[in-house]
Amino acid sequence: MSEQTTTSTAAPRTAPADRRSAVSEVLSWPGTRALIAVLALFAVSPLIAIGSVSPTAIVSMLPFAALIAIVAVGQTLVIQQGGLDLSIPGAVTLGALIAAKFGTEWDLATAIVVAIVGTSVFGLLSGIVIAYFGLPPLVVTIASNALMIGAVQAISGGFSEQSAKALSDFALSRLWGIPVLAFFAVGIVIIVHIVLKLTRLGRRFELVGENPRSAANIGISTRGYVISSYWLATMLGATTGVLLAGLLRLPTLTAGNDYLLPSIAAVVLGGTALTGGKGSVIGTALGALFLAQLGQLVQTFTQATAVQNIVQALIIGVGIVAQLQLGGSSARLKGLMRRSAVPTPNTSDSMRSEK
Amino acid sequence: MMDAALTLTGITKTYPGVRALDDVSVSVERGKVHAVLGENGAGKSTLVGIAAGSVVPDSGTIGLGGEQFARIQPRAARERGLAIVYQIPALAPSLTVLDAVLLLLPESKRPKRRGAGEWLTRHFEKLGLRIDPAATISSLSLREAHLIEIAAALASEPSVLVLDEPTEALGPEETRWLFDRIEELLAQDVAIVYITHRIPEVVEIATDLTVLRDGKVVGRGVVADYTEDQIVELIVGRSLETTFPDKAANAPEDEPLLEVLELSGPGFSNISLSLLPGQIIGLAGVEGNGQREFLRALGGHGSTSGRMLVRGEEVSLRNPRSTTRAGVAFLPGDRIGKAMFGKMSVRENVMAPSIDEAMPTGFADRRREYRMTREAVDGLAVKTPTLETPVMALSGGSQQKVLLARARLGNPRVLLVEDPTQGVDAGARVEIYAFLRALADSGVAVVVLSTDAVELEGLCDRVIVFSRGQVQATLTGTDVTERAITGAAVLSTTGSVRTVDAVPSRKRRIPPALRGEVQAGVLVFLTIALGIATTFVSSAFVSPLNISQLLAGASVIILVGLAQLLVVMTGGIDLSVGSVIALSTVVISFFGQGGPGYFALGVALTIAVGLGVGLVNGLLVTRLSLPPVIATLVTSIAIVGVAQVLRPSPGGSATGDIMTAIGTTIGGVPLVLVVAVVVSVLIWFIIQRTGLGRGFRAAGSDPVKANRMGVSVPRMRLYAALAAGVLAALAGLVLYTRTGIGDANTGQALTLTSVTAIVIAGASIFGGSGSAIAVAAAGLLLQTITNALSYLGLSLSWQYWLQGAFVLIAAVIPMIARYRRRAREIE
Repeated sequence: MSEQTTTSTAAPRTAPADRRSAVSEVLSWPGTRALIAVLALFAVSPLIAIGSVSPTAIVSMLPFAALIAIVAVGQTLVIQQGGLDLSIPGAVTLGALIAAKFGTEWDLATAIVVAIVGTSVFGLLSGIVIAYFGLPPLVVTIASNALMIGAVQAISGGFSEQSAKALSDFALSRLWGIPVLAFFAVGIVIIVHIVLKLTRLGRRFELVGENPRSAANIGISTRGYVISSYWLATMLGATTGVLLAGLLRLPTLTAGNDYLLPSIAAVVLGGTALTGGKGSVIGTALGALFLAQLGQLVQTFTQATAVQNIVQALIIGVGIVAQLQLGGSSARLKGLMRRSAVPTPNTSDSMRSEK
Repeated sequence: MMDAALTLTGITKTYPGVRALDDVSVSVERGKVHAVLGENGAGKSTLVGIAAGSVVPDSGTIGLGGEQFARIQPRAARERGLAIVYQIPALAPSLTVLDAVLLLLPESKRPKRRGAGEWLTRHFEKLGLRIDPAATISSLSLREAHLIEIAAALASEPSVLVLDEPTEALGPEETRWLFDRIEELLAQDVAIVYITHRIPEVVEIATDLTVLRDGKVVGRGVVADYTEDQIVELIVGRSLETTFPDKAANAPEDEPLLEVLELSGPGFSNISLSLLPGQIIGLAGVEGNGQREFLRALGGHGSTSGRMLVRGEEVSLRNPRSTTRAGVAFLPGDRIGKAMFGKMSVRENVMAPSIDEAMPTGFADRRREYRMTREAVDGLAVKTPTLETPVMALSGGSQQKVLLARARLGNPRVLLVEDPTQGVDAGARVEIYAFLRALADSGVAVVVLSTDAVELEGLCDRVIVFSRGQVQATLTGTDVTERAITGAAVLSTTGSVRTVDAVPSRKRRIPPALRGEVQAGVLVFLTIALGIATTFVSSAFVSPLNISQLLAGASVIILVGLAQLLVVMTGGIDLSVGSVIALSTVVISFFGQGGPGYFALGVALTIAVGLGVGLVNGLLVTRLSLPPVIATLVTSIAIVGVAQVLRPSPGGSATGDIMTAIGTTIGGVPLVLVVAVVVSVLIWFIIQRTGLGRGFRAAGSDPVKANRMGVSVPRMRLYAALAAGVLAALAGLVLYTRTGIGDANTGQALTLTSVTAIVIAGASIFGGSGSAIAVAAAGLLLQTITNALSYLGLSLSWQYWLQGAFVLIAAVIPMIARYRRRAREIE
C-alpha cells in the first residue's frame, strides 16, 4: 500500500484506476486457486494410479463430485453469513430416507417434494433461532441435526428402505455419456452464482454476510438473508439426500455423516472465507471436484473405508490449513516467502488495540 | 536519561494501511510523570500497548527493569513491575472483581486465595473505594471498572505505572483522588506514563512530555518550557484557523429540517432539538452521559419514546431501515465494526446503500457502478490504488472518506456522524471538516458527536452538552469554545459523582460462583421428579440393576460433558470427543484379556491416546489458527478411521475378573460414578479457585482483554484441548466397563450429548463461564431421560428430539432473560 502517513494538504488528486490489470484480477479470484489445485491433482493422478483419469474412472467419480457440490453450495451460503451448518448429516439422511421410503408408497414426485420441502423446515427453524436470538450457529445446528436424526429414527423405525426404481434410474442415467447428476450440479451452481454476483439480492446477501451490523446501519434488514441461508442449505442437503437415495438404491441411516466434512472442506478449498462475506460457489464446486477425485485416488490404493477416511481427513486437513494460511491475501503469501515462517497469529495484534 | 525506568527505542508498528508508530523513542524517568500527548489516533495507545506487551511491535526495543526486549509478553511486563490502566478497562467480563484483581497482580504480590477476599476488601477500604469483591465485572459501570484497574495497579506496587486517559471516565473528585495517589507514588520514585489530551492536567502534574502526531514524535522536552497554547499547537500541528472551514453565515430563515421532540431512551431522556438546513450541531459531554445513545437513537437504534420529524414529517425510529428511508444517514464511530464492509472493495462499499440506483434493471452493471463510485468520491482524495481494493487496506482517513462519499451519494437530508476524525491523520481531518461544511451548505442538517472539544469548537454552529442523559448546556455562536464545552461537561459531573466511595450498593443477586450450583440443584430436582414419574408407570425403573446401570451410564455423560465444558469455556468447541470415546474403547479392548497389570497398562495407554488427540486439536487451533470446529471435525474423522482399522468389527470382550473388578459398586453406587463425581468436583475447584481456572474463564470471556490482563490465551486453549482429550478417553474407559467390548462405531452420539449437557448446565456457549458440578447434574438428568424412555414406551427418536429441544430451549432462555432485563433497565 502506498498510503502516506505524512500527509500534506496538497494531496495528489490522481484518480485511482477502476480495477487492476485483467491478469491480476483473474489471479485474485478465490476460485482460481481451487482451479489450479484441481488441474494439479488431475495432472498427478495418472502418475499415482494409471487408470484414475480414464473416462470410466471420471464418469464413476462425477456423480459423487456432483453430490458434494450440491451440498457444499448450501454450506457456502451459510458460511457467507458467517455461520456453519453442522446439520448437514441430518438433512442428507432425512431427505434420502423420505425419498426412499415414500417414493415407493406414494407418487415419487410427491415424495421428492416432501423430502426436500419437509426437511427444509428444520433449516428454517435453525435460521430463525440464529437470526432472532443471536445463538451461535454451531450449537443451533447441532440441535437441529439431532431433531432431524430423531425424525429419521421415528420414520424408519431403524430400517433402511429401498428407493424407487424410477429414482435410481434417473440418478444413474447419463446424457451424452456424462452422468446426469453432473449437469444437475452445474445447473445449481450456475444459478446460485448468477443470483449472488449479478443481482441486487445477491449483492445485499454478500453485504449482510460481510458485516451484518454495517448492513443494518444502511437500512438493510438482515434477518431474512441469514434465515434463508440456513433454509437453502438444508434444502440443498435434502436434495443431495434424494439424489443419494437414487444413487445408492439402499441409503443407510447414517448416509449423511459422510457429507459434513466434505461440505465444509469444499467451501474452504474453494476460497470462501470462513469469516463470511463474499463467496465463490464456483470455487466450491471446484473444491467438490477436487475432493471427489481425491477420494477416487485413495480408493485405488485401498478398499478399506477406514483407511480412506484417515487419508482423506489428513489431506483435507492439510488443504484447509494451506488455504487458510494463504488466506486469500497475497500479502500473507509474500510474507511466507520472505520470512519463511508463518507469522504467529496473536489475539492482541488486532486493530482493536488502537482505540 | 541514566535513571530511565522504561525506555522505548525506535518503535515501529504498522496495521493494514496505517503506520501507527514510526520510529518512536521515549524514555521515562523514575519519580517523574511523563505525559504522552496527541490527538485521537496519533498512536499513544499503541505505544503504551507495546510497553505493556499487549501489542507486538514490528521493530524497536523495549527496555524495562534493566533488560532489553524485542517484544514482551503482558505477563512478563507485569512481573517486571509495569502496571497499566487502559483507556477502556481490560477486565474480562465474566470474572469477579476478586478474580480480576488476582489475575492482574504479579506473582510476588498475589495474596493466598484463602483470605484474598478480605485482603481485597481491606485494600479497597484503604483507597477509599467501596466495591464488592464478589461482584461480576460485567455488572459494573465503566467508572467502577476503571477504579478497580487503578486499585489493582496500585496493589501491584509498580515501578512503572502507565495511565491511558485515566480521567476520561472519572469526575473531578475522583481525578483529585487519583492525583493524590500519583503524588504518593512519585515520592516512592515510581515512573509514571500519563496519556491524556487534557492540557491543564499535563501542566498540573507532568514534568516531561512527548507529543505524537500521525505516529511520529513531533515534540519532546520539559513541560515547564511550553505554554498551554504551544502544547496545543504541537498536538494539532497547525494553528486552528487554517484547520476549520468558515461557519454558516447568519442562520438562514427557513423551516427546521430536523426536529426532535422529547426523545427518551436508555441513557437519555426528554431531549428536544431543532436544526435548520445548513447547520452543524455538535453533541458533547463526558463519556457515558447519554450523548452517544441519543445519536444512535436518531439513527434508529433504541429509543423508547418521543418523536423525530424530518421536514415536518414524522419518522419512525424503530429501526435503521425506517430512518434511512427518511433520508437520515448514520455514520457510526466504530467504522470497522459497524459501518464498513472491510474485505469488500471501495466500489462495493460506496454502492452499498444505493444498490437499487446502481442496478436499475435488477442486474449488476459494472460500468455504471464505477461511474457512480467516481462521482461519489469526487473531490475527496481517497487514496487507493484501484476501486477494487478492499476498503480495509486503506488508511483511516481514506476509509472515512469512502463512508462520507457513500453517505453523500444517497442524497441525505440529515447526516449523523459519530467521531468523524477518530483514527484519521491530520491532513485528512482538514478535508473531512471541509466536506462536512460543504455538505451542510448544500442544505443538509449535520449532527456531529465528538470527544474532541477543539473539533466541536471549530466545526459546529451549535453544541449541546449532555449530562446524566439530559441537556446540561446549549452553546451557540461565539459561545462555542473548547473551554465552554469542557467546562460545561466537567461541571456537570460534580452533581452526579460526589465522592469516590459513593458506589451505589447494588441489589445482590445470586453470586456467579453459586449460580452454577443453583442450576445443579434444579437439574437434580428434575432428575428425581422424572424418576418418580417413571416409577409410577413402571416400578422396574427403580430396580437396583437399572439404577446401577443408569448411574454408570451417567458417568460417561458427565466425563464427556466436562471435556466439552473446558473447551467451550475457553471459547472453542470439540466435535472429536465422541470419536475419542470410540477409539478409547477400541484401545482398551486389546488389554481386557490379560491380568490386572496388563489392563492397567491399557488404561495408561488409552489416556495417553486421549492426550495425544487433545495435543493435535490444541496445536491445530493455537498454532495453525484453524477454527476449532473444523480442526476437531478433521481429527474426529481421522480418529474414527484409526479405530476402525484397529477393530473393523466390535470385539475384544474383557474377562469376567476384570469386568467384575471395574464394575465394583460402593453401597450400590458404581465406582465409575464416584470417579466421575470426584473429577467433577476437582474441575469445579480448578475453575473457580485457581489461577489456571481464572485464566480459562478470562480467555473464553474476552480473548483480547484476557491477553491484556496477562493471560496467554493460546496456552489456555491448548490446556483445555489436552484436558478434553484425557476426559474423553476416561469416558471411553467407563463406557468399556459397561459394554465390555471395543466398538469403533460407538460414541458418535455422545458428541451431541456433551453439548446438550453443558448447555442445560447453564454454561455460557459463548465461553467464559460454567459449573462442572452443574454438568455432573446434567449428565445424571440426560441419562435418566434416556433410561426412562424405554420404561415410558417411547422410541429412540425421542432421545434425539429431547436433546435437540433441550439445547434450543436452554440456550434461548438466557437470551430472553437478558432482553427482559434490558427492557426493564430502559424503564
